[in-house]
Amino acid sequence: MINEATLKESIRDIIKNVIQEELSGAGAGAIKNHAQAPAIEHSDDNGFVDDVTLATMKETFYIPDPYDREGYMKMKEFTSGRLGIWRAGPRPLTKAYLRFLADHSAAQNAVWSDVDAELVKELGFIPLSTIAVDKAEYIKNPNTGKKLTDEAVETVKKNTVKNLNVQIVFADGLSSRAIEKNAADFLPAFEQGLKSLGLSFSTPFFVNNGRVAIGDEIGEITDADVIAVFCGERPGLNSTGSMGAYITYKPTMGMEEARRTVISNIHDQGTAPVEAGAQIAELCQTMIKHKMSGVDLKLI
Amino acid sequence: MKLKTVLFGKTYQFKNVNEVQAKASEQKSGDQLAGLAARSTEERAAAKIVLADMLLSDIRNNPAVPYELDDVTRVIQDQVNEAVYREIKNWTVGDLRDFMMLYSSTGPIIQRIATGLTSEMIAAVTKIMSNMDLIYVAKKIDNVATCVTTIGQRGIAANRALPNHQTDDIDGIFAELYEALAYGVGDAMLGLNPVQDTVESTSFLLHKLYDFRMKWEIPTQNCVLSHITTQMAALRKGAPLDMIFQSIAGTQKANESFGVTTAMLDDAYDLGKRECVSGGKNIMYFETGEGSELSADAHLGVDMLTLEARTYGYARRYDPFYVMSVVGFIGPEYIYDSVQQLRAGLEEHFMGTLSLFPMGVDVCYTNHMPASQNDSENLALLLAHAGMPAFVTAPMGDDIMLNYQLLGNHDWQTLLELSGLKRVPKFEKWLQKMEILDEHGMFTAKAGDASIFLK
Repeated sequence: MINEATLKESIRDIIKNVIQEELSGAGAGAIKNHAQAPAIEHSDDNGFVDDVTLATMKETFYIPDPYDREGYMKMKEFTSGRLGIWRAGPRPLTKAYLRFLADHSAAQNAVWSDVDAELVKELGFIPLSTIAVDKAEYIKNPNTGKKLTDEAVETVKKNTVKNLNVQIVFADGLSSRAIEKNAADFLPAFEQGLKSLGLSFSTPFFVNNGRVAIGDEIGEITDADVIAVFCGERPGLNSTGSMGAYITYKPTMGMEEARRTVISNIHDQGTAPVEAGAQIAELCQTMIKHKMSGVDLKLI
Repeated sequence: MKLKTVLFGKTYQFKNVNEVQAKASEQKSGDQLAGLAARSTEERAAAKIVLADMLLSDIRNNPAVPYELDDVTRVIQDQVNEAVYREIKNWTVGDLRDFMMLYSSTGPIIQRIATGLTSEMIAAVTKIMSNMDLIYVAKKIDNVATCVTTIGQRGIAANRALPNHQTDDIDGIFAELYEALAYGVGDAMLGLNPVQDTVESTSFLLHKLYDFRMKWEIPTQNCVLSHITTQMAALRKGAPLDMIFQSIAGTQKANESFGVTTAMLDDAYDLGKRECVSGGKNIMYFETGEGSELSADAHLGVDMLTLEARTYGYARRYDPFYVMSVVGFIGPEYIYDSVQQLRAGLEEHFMGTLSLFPMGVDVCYTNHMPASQNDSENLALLLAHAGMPAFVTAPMGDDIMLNYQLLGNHDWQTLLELSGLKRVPKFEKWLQKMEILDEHGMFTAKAGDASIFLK
């Protein structure tokens, strides 16, 4: 990824180039992507149409002849909104429109696809299913994502470790991508954290078509002290792979939502997965010490 | 009251008015989730036929939630104009529909009749109207309201700028505002959904927005959409509010889940009339959404459309500047896809219009809905055709804070050009002074360049 310093540097270069171009009489009025960051490699003729997803929104700037280019780029540093993208007549430019389509397709795909079964196997997760027959039912009726199949209940029973401190559960939630992108980085950090605090844990479950509350049923079966559910969050156009952590002390089915402690926004642009791992391990320890979670824990 | 009919030799018997209302509703995932929806299209048709034959007095006498149990019901029932109601109480729901279609039933005539309707009657008639019916009647009616500026006149449509930001960063918020104004967006309001719900933060943002409006002499109104109690505290501390916002719903229990009571709204309305710096006649702004009662476990066995109509009836108590439904925001478990979104948008605009205030729809969807920007564009064109007075847009439709997609700033000028609607005249003049629009209301070469505000 491009850091802020390189970004600023590249913006300065762009501005310099533009000024030179305009001094030499070229550029004015032409619709050009002046803000394409030099840090990104674009080979001239490798048979590929340029990857439109490489530039961030902050780098993307299409206005040919703005009143204050430098001021505009500075302004754009403060928001990831789609600003400075210009127009053809009243309509968006082709490239802005296509970028939107690409981002929306990724967001939708994050919701409507399953986590790669190979990855689940590689990570050594124990796979579980909910009673949702397919994605459409799961989306239309959230309750189907909160109940395990009879077979899955048996699997949980078979794999229950007695007197366990922390049972780890991953669920696709509303973004399979969140699990695919973050689980592999997050899990070792979290397990390491638990180990160093002397807390016991066992092999994670992975729930396909699973919502946050699936942890409550798993909690009732396993009777672990803490159930830690890591779940894909509803994707936005700019963040399709964000994972949320929902940590609860002795959850029960149908309990109040206020009993969960939530850490959202776990992804490489938000709370880094590795950092989150250590932080959440400590949180588990606090919950076990006070025998509570959620709003009650906040009040301590 | 007749609660049964025969269709193609099969008998359809309903228990009560609520069951008829629920089963007469167009298909929506939320009513299915609640177990209230018709089980077949034939049953839906049968319910519509029974509903169309019901007297308005039958519906008045059987409110969706009992009068004694629910203050939303009490507000709706108590504000009925009894003289008008006596004239129409023996009409069937079908009679009401036919009446509204007549050439002789002009906007003002329908507005008068609407004062004698309860929200349940409005929901009922909506269920026996086609999409084009809804557009045809809504277009006759002009509900005008004034905060700093006036919206809702014939041929005028206003649009809200939505400068939301993940951390309420003031520079980011203003970047988004400049961008909106550069596309001629912002005459309905400059309306921010803040992340932080504190009095300090709300006051700070209100001061910033007010100073901006004054510095550039922008003929519009501002709103920071924190909880009503937060806004009231800010107002009491002297923050410059133009209007007061709150999300509301169609049952007392659902409103309580939002932390809102009628006494609280009454207080806010009184306070606003005395303290809002806009000096406007209409100083309340409400947002609503089908499914909010069900998601709060407070729907009490009533279908989403009837609850939405009741929400508008409740809003009417406070003569709002306008009301906006966030049609595709609540989620696909309530409004599943683009078919349901389109129908709901037209229904909501029509029902709000019959509730006698300017009604807007946030044409939008979340990423877990099977819908796209094309679907939103379709609905927006239809709503513009229906003369909807209030829209909302964001840069390329991307709300980076709430993570959903609405109409884009580009869509606004396009919609106005296609529909022949005009911006609020004072705002259009201001845009011309800023050289964003030319004398015909078309974009100049400068339009779309937000850096003109960096002067």
